[in-house]
Amino acid sequence: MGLKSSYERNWKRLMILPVGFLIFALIILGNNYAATGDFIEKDISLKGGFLLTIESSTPIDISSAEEELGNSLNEQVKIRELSSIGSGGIVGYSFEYAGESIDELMDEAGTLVETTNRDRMSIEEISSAISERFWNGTIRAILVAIGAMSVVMFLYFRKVVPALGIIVSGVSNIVGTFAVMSLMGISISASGIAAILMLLGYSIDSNIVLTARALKRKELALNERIYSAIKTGLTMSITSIVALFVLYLASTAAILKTISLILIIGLLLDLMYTWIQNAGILRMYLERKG
Amino acid sequence: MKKELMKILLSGRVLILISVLIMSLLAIAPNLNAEGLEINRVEIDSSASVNGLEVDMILYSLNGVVITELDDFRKEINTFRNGEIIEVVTDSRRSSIVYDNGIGFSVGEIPTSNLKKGIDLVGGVRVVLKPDTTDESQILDMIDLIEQRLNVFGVADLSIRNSKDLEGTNYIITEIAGASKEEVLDLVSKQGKFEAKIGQDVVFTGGKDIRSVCRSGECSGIPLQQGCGPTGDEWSCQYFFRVDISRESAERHATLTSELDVVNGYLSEKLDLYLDDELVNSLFISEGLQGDVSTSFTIQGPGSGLTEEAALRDALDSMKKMQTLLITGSLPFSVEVERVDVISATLGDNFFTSSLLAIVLAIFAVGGVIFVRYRKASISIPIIITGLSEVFIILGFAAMIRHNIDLASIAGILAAVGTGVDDQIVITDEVLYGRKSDEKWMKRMKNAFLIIFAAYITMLAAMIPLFSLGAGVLKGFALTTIVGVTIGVFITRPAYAKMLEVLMEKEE
Repeated sequence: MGLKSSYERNWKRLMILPVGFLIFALIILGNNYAATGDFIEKDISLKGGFLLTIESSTPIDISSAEEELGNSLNEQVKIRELSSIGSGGIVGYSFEYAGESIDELMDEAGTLVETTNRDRMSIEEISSAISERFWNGTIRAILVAIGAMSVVMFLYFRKVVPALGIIVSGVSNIVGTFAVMSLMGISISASGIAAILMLLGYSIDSNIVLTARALKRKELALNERIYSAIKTGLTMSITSIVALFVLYLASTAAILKTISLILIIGLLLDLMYTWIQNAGILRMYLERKG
Repeated sequence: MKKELMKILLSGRVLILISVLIMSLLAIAPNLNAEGLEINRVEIDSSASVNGLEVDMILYSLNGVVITELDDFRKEINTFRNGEIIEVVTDSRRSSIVYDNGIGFSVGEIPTSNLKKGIDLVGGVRVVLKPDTTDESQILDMIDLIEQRLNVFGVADLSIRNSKDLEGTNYIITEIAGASKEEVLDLVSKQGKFEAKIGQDVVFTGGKDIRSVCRSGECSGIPLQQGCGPTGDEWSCQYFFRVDISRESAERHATLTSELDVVNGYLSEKLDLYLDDELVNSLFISEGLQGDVSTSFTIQGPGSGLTEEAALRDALDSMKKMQTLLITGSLPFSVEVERVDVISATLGDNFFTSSLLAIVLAIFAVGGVIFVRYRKASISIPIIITGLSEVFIILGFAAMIRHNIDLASIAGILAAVGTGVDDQIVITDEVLYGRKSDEKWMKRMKNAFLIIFAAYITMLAAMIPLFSLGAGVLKGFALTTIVGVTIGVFITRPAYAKMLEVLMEKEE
């Protein structure tokens, strides 16, 4: 039981870890914001870019072409096949691209679909106004969601500090995940936002287990309550992480891989935020109350 | 073991789960033998549409060549020349149509179930519009209106963006899921300026003058008795629906009608309905309405087709379109359709199947971890069963409400199943803890469900604003998550608790 006793001696000091990490994460995101105007890099689905349409009837393998273009242009390219309503035959391809090297894109994409004549290509810039609006709406929705969750937590536990502890740990978890994503070069997409929201849900879940056990299972000593919650919570997190790892390996789609990767990062961070930070907050709170 | 199994199967909560599973199966209605192609779009005014080809017909052959795959279809079409007469055989008719720069209809594989897939999974139609303005804020207003129109019409799965080419011309790019009918294109590209006039004077217009449009069966639809009838070798039907207009428009109507004469029980002028300056219908005004500050009107319109059924469908489609235009009003500018293409899916054909398979595998992995932790198959097997049931029921629900399953929905399924597993672990631990401390079953379950309910309400609190404020992708995610978690809390988790109860009692 070496682990348990060293935790007993050091649980307060351990809380430096999550706080330190939060500060580190805020520095990274703040630095991104200062450099690019966005605290995390958005992918093509959230920022707009160029739309190149090329007439062609050459069949190509879309996913390998996307990979090839993505590698040579160093920027994600999304390809869609266009076919005619009248005959069903392929009439062209559209390429969505968030980078700057348009000439290169036209050359490479043209070679790929065997149409190099620029007269049979058209290029447009997708305005960012709509994606901007989507992004702002999303941020607003998430803030409202966090507000609503705080109200529910407060009504459920009827105590300010424990309810606040849950929300703080949930929010720090998201901030931390954004920072790790940014360090790993993962840009945020519309589906990435879904993953972040899922993460918020998971993190609140494990915190509720902790808080409910710590506040309500009064027949046990405080540290025993926390250990019982840790046991349940760890089972929850490990199960989720293993399941997501399987999902990461088993899914063929890049997008599902990104979602599971974001969730794995977040769940790992959640271990720290729930079981060190929030458990610490609860302990201090309950010890002070006697 | 047999006794326990019977006890589980016959308990109320498990019976509920089983019946919901059966309902889901019926809603999804898998058709494993589906083979062949069906018509999914017919061009308006094409030779194909004039000769009676309709959406949902199953294609058998072209010029006697049996067509079973998309490649066959494409290959065959490449051999046709303009002006050639082609014999098309479908499950319901044999038609001869003229090939004119295209065959006039397109086909898709016959769906294997009632599950509808979103634009990112199956592709759809991309319409590029050229608006008659260069002001970006006005274009954004138009995008809002088009989006609203499509939503009112019942198309939820769409993406609209605006773009600019190098010469500075503005475009609006609209993408709509699946096999969209031509009506949808109409809604996107029509300015939709609706006016009801008496003589030269406007009584009311679409949008701001309309207080409400009836879309329920009591005050809209096709009259059963006299709604449809044959005209020549065609059928035609009349639809009707009631609209309530604003007070000012009603007063305008009163002033305008009070000046008219009465002829044979009707007023001398008719109420003319114009759509984009084109007269679409003229309605008699009965003498009783003269000078009346009436706020309710009945709008009527026709539909036609080769059979009664086709005419009925045509009339109902026109009605829905008219209702939509009346509710949303006209676009501030006219638009031109630059091009219309069928676009492929962003995520590839087998994304849906492969991601579902991946989720199922992940659920089995959960079962594995649970087995390692508790060393009991009697805990991990019920968890696997519960997880799989949740996925299946969510899909069933999506099929029932005709929700298009897209990437966001799949993420939602993942979220729901994930929190489901969390909750089951909470139940399991409370049960095992209670066993140590001799708590009664009810007490243990109460403890567990208190935590589960708190998590559930918090989830709802987060998802409801997301559903109402969030756009596109997030709406689908929030919906699936809400549905999934609700099913979990009220159906699958109680059943899991029951299974656990019976299996644990046996051990105790």
